[in-house]
Amino acid sequence: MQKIEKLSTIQLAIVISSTIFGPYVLSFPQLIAQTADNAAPLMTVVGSCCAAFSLFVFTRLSQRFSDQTLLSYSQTVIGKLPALFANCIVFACFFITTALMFRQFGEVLSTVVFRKTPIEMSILMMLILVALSCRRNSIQFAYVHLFYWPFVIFPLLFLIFMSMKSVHFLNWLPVLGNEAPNWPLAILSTASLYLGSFIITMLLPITEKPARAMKSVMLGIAVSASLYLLLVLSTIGIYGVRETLLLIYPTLEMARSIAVGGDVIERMDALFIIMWVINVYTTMFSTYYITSITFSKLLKFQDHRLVTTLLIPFLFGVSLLPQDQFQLYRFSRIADESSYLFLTGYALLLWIVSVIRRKGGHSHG
Amino acid sequence: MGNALGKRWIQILLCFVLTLNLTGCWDQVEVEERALVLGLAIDEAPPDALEKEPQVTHMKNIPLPKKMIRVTAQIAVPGRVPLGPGTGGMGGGGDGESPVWIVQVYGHSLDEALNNMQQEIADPRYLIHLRVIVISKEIARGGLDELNDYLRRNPEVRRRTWLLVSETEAAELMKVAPPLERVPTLYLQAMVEKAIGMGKFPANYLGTFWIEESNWGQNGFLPYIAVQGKEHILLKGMAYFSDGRLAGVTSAVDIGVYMGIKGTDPGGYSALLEVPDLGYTMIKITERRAKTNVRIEEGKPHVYLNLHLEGVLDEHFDAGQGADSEAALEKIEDALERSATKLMHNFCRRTQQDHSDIFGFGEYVRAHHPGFWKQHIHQKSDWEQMYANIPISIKLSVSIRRTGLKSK
Amino acid sequence: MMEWKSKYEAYMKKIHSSSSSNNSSLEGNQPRQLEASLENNLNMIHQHMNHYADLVVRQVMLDKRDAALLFLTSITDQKLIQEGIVAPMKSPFLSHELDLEMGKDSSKTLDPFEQVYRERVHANFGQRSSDWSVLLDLMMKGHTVLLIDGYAEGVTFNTRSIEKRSIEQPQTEQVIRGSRDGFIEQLETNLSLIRYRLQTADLVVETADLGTRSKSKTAVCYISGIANPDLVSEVMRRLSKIDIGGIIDAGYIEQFIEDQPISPFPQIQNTERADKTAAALLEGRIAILVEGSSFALIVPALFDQFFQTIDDYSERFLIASMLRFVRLMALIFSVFFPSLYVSVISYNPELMPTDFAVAIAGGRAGVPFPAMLEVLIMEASMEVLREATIRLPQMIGGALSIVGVLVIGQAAVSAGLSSPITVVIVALTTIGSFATPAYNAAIAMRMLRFPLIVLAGLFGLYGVMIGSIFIVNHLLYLESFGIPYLQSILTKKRAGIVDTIIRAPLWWMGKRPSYLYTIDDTRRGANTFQANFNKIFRPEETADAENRETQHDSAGHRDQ
Repeated sequence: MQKIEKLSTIQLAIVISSTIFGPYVLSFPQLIAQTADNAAPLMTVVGSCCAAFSLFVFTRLSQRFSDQTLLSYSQTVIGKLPALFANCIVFACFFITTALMFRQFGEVLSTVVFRKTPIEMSILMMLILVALSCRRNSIQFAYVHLFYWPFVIFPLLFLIFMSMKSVHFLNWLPVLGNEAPNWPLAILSTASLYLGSFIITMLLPITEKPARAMKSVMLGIAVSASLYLLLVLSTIGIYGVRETLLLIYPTLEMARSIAVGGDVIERMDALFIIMWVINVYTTMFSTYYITSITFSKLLKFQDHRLVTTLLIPFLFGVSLLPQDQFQLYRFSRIADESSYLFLTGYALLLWIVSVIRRKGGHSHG
Repeated sequence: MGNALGKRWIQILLCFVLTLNLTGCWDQVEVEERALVLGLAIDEAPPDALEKEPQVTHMKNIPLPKKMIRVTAQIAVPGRVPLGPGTGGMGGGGDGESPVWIVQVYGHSLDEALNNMQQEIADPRYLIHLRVIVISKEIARGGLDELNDYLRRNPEVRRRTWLLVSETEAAELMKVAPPLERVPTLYLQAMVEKAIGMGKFPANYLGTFWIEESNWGQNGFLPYIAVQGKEHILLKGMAYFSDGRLAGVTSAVDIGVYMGIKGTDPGGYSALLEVPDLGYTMIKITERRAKTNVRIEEGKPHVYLNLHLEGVLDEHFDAGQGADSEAALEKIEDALERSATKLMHNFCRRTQQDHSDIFGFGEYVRAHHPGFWKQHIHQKSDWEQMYANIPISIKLSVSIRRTGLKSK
Repeated sequence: MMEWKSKYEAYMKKIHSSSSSNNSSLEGNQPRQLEASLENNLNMIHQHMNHYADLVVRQVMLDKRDAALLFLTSITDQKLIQEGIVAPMKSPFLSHELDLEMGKDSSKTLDPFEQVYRERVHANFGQRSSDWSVLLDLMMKGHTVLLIDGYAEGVTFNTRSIEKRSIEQPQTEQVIRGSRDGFIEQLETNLSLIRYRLQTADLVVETADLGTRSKSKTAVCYISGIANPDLVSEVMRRLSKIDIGGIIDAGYIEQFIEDQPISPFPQIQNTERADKTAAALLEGRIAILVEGSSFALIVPALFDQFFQTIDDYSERFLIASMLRFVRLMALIFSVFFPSLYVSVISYNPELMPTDFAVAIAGGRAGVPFPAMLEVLIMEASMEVLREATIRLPQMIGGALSIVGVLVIGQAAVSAGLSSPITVVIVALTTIGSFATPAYNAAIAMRMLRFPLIVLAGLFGLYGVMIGSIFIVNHLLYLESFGIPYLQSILTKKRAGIVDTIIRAPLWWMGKRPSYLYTIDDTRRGANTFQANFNKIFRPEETADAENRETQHDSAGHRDQ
């Protein structure tokens, strides 16, 4: 009796924004401070613009083929074998980044919340939860994001708001940084945060108005980008660059320093971790979904559910590969940044080739 | 692939794996089974401490750090601090029993000492409610690197903990038991917290201290306390640091001066001064406003401070005439301006001599003049050296608004 | 005693004889068709049904023919039978009716059944059939069967009358401001309660039987210009699949037609209140009522309906919104509070202020169990107590609640079995869970507490979060008749939101819930919104502006 539900523009924006906003919330300020010194806010803005450009490419490409997913039309555009090869790499990108994200999530939990629980347990629990949630179709996928979005955004806003009074504006100056920022690296590390936005290629077929998807996608990325910017601004503002470099999880430290009502509720970090779990969950959910859909399409399955369950042990195994904290960060940096470059390049390639070869419909203005 | 069968096997496997993991609640420690360390006091250890140390983390004949410290911990005893208005219902607790347990250990570093302590205590120790850490002057002079390192790495430690420098032996402060509070550490903490509320000390928690110490253009400071009599703790002044070590201590009125220069609200200090023709007056400062400007002149940063204080007349005695007119108030204001400016200059000079820029003027230079900063300052000690020679100009204006209920 | 003895012997004989014969049931032996001879029919009936103590065979004379009325005294209206059927049949026939000879070719010859029905009997017509099983069926439902000698057909009249209780306030759903007539077990009365509230010709009531042995009359009600035809057809389709012996209560139907039997959350609402049913029908929902149950099923049902009550709509919107909010808070509280408590005590005492943490440690110092076990034990005892209180008669109930409080509360604490904080938490959660108006949803929430407590005991706050995400995801995927369970929160159109957390003023709720895809979705006249909006915010624009002297504006002033 129901009509086929499709995503409205607002819903699409919410899905995009909640996918992007993910596990790097905790450690991002330190990463960007490392590469950009005081110019961190500026670098965040520039990096976000760069990511917005990639998203623009993804969206335009999907709009050209507004009723197929990337895996189908890539074959028509550049031929079967190259597309197969490239799609395998897409799958590998998301597989590795998802696994490493799980590991990072486990690391944070092990450091702060669970001192003695084996990290395998926390990873496994989250993995199973995410995998079980993935056994649904795309609309229900969107519902999950819709529901959790306020829980992701508002605690962070609350946190930033409460910390505002400790901000020293002096810490934000000089705007261009005392040390010259390492431009390419800073931009790249910021832009690779937005890796999850690739999901637009799979969501566009179920959007109500593909023509207006560009607006909603930009809205989504604007929301997340401004949140990241606020985060960086408040962390650098409170701690200053020197101290931020010493903190592995600056956002967490910010949460720990809040006292509500004068000592009645201190140590909000446990509560914050909880909200962060939801945050991570939504992002993992998206990337896991991308991974399993990609894999199932590669293997030409009708339904991605079996793949979802099958991938669990492999993801688990890969996530346990890095031996220590620093190796993990190194790997995930490399994986994220190279995935981002590859995906952007691939999408750009597909777009250009499809324009040249005149495949696909006109992109709806 | 037999879809249904495969799915069934996977489900069974998952259930099995999950049930196995139910065997442990690894991190579950009930609150009454934790030894909550409420306060720590760190002193230098007497020379014979090496023998007293149980060999918990090392054997005796490996190279060891030279210094040893003595850590006194105050651990909350469950059951002796009653809930509610002191009924003392559950599990004992008369008046004679102390609600905390004092343990003293020796070690080469804070972490080692805590491990030694754990050997002597049944319950696992937790620093989650550590509110106050008191260190003695000697320890502060020796440098806080090791201490800070452990405290930073430990996720249990809050950034809103207080680090206090004590004039006498730090361990004494763990034993002071004033009648106003059931748990002594909490009294210490309340004292400092309420001082902030009353405008008697800036909110310089451990976290803020770390930020100040990390910034290149700034140095940190800590509250300086001393024991007075048997039950009283006196907030004696500020202990300021340079190069990570204690560089000097100030008196309490200098705290007011510091807060005046920084423009910290709420105001809380009172000044006693003699006004020509009017006798002695006590002015209470209620608000402070400060504007700091740093300009590079003659190749050196020149600090211009534009300060404003608001006050009320609290007391006026030995009077030649009453304080009953605008002119009288102006006279008082002038006198206060002069004496306060003198105090400020003296204080600034002292900190300059000790190479301790607790005001953070360096940060202004770094923020507004990045070129100059990049050229001259390559590490923190560069600024500390440069700070000694920069000129500081202070312009202070005072407004006294009210004189209380008495009309003259 | 002798009577029973003879009955016993007769019964034993019958069993043995029927087991030695073909073992066919009693029903199968009954002939399907009537015969023309009344005598044969009656003999046959007697043979098979003489163990019905309340069966009466009333022989009457219909003109010169023999006729017989069969009915069951227990479910028929005796007065109606005697005065409305028997008495008219006894009165003398007029001349034109005398010609009842069969075969007489006369255009004036009426069929005797028709004649009896049209001119004589003061009862409603049931059915006419030559199939005995149909007539038997109807007789079981309280009809009176008329057999006339010489005709192999029978006719029934509806003389059903069953003792029923009076209409009283529904026990399970008490409200402050709302009507107090609730449904009873008789379908006719229930339908009348709905009909008088919705006196529109569009109210459609479709009835049929359900249950092979109980043959309970089931009614599906909807308003034909409003309800989505797809929904109606889906309901009928699901009802058609029910193949069960007896429908004792509407709950049986519910369990057969719901989407997800495994889910703890109810997907169909049940209510004893007639006004709630009428309101639901107006929204475009469908109500299912069954004879023998005082509960009506309302389909589809979504999550937000379970904490709405009818007096939300009777009261003014500010108050209603606040009350709804309070209820929602109580609900969330009752689900999460014990597990949060367990996780804070066992895993994260740093969340509490220091004094409090030390003091709680003191309170718990004597308790032998870890917090999780303690809370589980207390919660379990609370559940047992709650179950026990339902079954008790009023007199003992009061005493038991006192005992329960004392035992579970004070004595347990003094004995060291639990700490005072736990008792407070458990009591608060129990009270909070009763704030949910819908009993089935409240039970679901209560039951969900336990897995959350276990998860909290194993993994602390992280476990609680994982559990909550599981539950929320389940809710997100749940559907009631094809509509997502949390649709009102996930809706795209704003219209749905005005009725969930807050209750917008009646003049604001212009459209029916969009997820019902109703045919006609405006609830009120087109101008109502603007008129009321103006009344509050822009009084000078209202139509009453001419009569300012007698009207009050929104600030309460009168224009003098």
